[in-house]
Amino acid sequence: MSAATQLYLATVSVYICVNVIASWALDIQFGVTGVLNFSFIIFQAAGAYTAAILSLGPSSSSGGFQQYVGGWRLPFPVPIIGAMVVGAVLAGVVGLVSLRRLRSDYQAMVMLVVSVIATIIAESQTGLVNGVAGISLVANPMVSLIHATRQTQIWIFVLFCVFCMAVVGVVMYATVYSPFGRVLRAVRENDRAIEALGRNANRHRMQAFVIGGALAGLSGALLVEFIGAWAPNGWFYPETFVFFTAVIVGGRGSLTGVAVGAALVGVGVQQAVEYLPITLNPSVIASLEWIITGILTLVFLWTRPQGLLPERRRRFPAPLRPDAPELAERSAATKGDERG
Amino acid sequence: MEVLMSAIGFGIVTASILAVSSVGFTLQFSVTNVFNLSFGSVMTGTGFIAYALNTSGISIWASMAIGALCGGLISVALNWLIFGRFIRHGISRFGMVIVTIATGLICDNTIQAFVGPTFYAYNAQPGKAFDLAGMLLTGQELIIIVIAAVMMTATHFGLKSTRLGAAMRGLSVNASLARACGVPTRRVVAVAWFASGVMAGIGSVALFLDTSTFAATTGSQFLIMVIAAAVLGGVGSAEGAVVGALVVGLATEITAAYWNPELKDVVAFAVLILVLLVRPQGMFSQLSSERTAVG
Amino acid sequence: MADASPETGAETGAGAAPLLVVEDIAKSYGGVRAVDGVSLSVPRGSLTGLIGPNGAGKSSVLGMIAGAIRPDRGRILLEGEDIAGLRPYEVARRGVIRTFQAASVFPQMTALENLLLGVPPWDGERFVSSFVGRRAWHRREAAQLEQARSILESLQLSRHADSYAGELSGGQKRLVEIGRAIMARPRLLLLDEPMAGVARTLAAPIEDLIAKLRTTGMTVVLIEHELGLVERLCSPVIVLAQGKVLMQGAMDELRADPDVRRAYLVG
Repeated sequence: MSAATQLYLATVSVYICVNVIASWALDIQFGVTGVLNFSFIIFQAAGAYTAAILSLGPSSSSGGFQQYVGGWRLPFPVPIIGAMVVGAVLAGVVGLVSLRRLRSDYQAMVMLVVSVIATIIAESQTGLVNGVAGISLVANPMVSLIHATRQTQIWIFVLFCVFCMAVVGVVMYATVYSPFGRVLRAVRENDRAIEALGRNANRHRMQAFVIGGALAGLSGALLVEFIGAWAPNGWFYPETFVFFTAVIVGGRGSLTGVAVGAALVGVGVQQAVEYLPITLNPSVIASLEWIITGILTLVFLWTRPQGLLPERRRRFPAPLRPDAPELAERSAATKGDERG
Repeated sequence: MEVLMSAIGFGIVTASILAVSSVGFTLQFSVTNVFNLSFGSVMTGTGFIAYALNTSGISIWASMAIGALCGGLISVALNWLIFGRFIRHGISRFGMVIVTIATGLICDNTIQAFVGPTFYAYNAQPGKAFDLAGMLLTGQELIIIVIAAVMMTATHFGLKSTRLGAAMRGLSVNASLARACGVPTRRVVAVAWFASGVMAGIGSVALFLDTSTFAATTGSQFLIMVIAAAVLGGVGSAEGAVVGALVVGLATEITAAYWNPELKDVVAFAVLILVLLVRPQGMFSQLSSERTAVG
Repeated sequence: MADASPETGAETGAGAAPLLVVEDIAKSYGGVRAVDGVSLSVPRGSLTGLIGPNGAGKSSVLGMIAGAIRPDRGRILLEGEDIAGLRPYEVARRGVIRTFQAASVFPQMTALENLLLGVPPWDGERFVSSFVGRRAWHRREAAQLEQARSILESLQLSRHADSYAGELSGGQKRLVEIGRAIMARPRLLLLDEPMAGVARTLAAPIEDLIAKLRTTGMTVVLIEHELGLVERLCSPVIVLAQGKVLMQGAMDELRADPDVRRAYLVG
């Protein structure tokens, strides 16, 4: 296998892992809890920037051509953990501002504005994260950790990403299929009713928001450590929408569904357009990706709003009752059902 | 003092452009209860239609008028083809927002695919500048302010004194009651979308004139400002939108003049967020969590 | 503390202190006085009826007790503690559970899950519990499931245990909603027009359910338009009109009272 093919496969793998983690992050906020987080992309961006400035050396070194805060050259995996913390904290702040007693679409507007503010600040305050030019020269942590060929280092990083995705998958599963997850879904379904049953809906939304923020931060950290650079034009506010499409197409609230959606929409659409037999100039290709994403959303919302793999119905094993033989038979059959 | 006055002058121009756009956005919302995030694309589209007309020899103001008309028709078409159908299909409120975003992305990027990433400019001379009490405004800017003022007055009287206006206000307060009283919902809704598209058209040409050069992305970037002004004033309230536009317009220009031009938008948004923290529904809100979408 | 024991208190308990005392609450919307100084008391273990013509303020009073509406003035004393102005979830945590006029189930969750959520907030619902101590909450959940299944069986909805609540009929949803409220073992149950949206065929099981609740010693406040139901089940009955308490007593007394009759004709 040629080096170029290997790099291509590695890239696709990393992008799939990162997109799945990010889509799960949005899923816990939007799919499970029903928060229309239209500022989602800034949490991934915050994670990326954090991982970058924590792993890079001081900005004055390497000729000082880029300015940024931080630069403490922290070893792996501290920048990644830092990214998750920053993602969570930022989500807490944004949540405090926007998760008020507002109707859902109104809240979404506020979050949209927050996303735009974040972009403007990042672009104009060049001392922060190097403004419009963005940060570059972010090293892949495996380069300093593993002494092997560049290709091997990349594949180890890919393995690391897959490992992260698996861990996040387990965390998501435990969270969603639990009494905590049940309350989150209830908040989505009918927040007045869940409050009338003693739960504070906004506090639960905040928790889902913060968890999602941390996971989004993780996805950003992994992405920046692979690509090596991060700039504002990669996270304008419409980028949030790609993840919404992934969640809607895949199946809101369904872990496997969202993962499939993430792979299809995040990576699949982009790859499909790249390899179209028609040659188009790059900006038209970019536009085409957006058009397809938009059309996918409309089509799914119209025909199959529950997504390709809908959220599973929770079933519970029926108890065995010794005095009811038919019930015992039926419960033996239902034990084969998925444990909700 | 001169700096302040000239900043106020610019602020009034920005506010005028913003006011027309925000009133269009908010009026449609008040009738249909739909947050239309494809409004920016309608602006971009009509702005380019006006460009095509203008560069083939038609005066900029006539192009604006025809563009506005097209904007109205495009909006009605979008509602007829997409939005109205989804509403009748029973989609949830946030599903509807996503629908409008998706539509906006499709329209925006289709336009972009055709016109490319380059910047364009209208064939229109700004004219000489007039000095009005320290505010330096060109003839073009003055006309924009006048057009905005006329549109605001017309909207105000239209809503207050015509039957159509009364029907719109009725639908905005209580759609099922209005329907039960015989208000022809579909027709009134179509008019609301038409009006919103017309204002988008006027706003976009005014915007493109004000920014001298424009590209396919200018409309969607401006959309955030429109939303900010509308939300600040209380979505659904036309007066609120005007007040919101004034606040945002003046805040941005005064910030640009006295502080840092790059942060002028941030200040406007910060004001928005501060207001929302204190009064989450905006200043003159008509928001109610009970309202359903009307298509 | 105003302690107006109901005239028909003899039926409801050995003259014990009332569970709920409402003192002079009021609420205005714009210029409209929806509730204009209402005081009442709910005897412990009673099934108190709250009736009145449309616009009398019954739902607003219930909303204020449940915390959904903040009263402009007045006190709401639940066994001595003033709960006026508390948020709905704070009121619910004190054992006051309400139902809504439109049966408020969780549509895309099964009937069983709906009932599971009726249990008062517990430790297993915390985020950390998803990872730590799973075996413990599995056991608790199993106990809750058993309770839920038995309630579903008593409601004759066992075959819908795994059906999405949103797909049930209006009456079935109402049964699920009340069943869910029962899971909470409330001190005070507020039923807001439980018969609204319920077809005739399911009216009897719901009425039976409400009657049975009374025998368990639960205190219930019932808003209803169907006066026959109120007459069969409730004592005492409080009449509201135009935001004020008009009268309180047994149904036949109320029927005979000229003010009450006028209120219903006019209001």
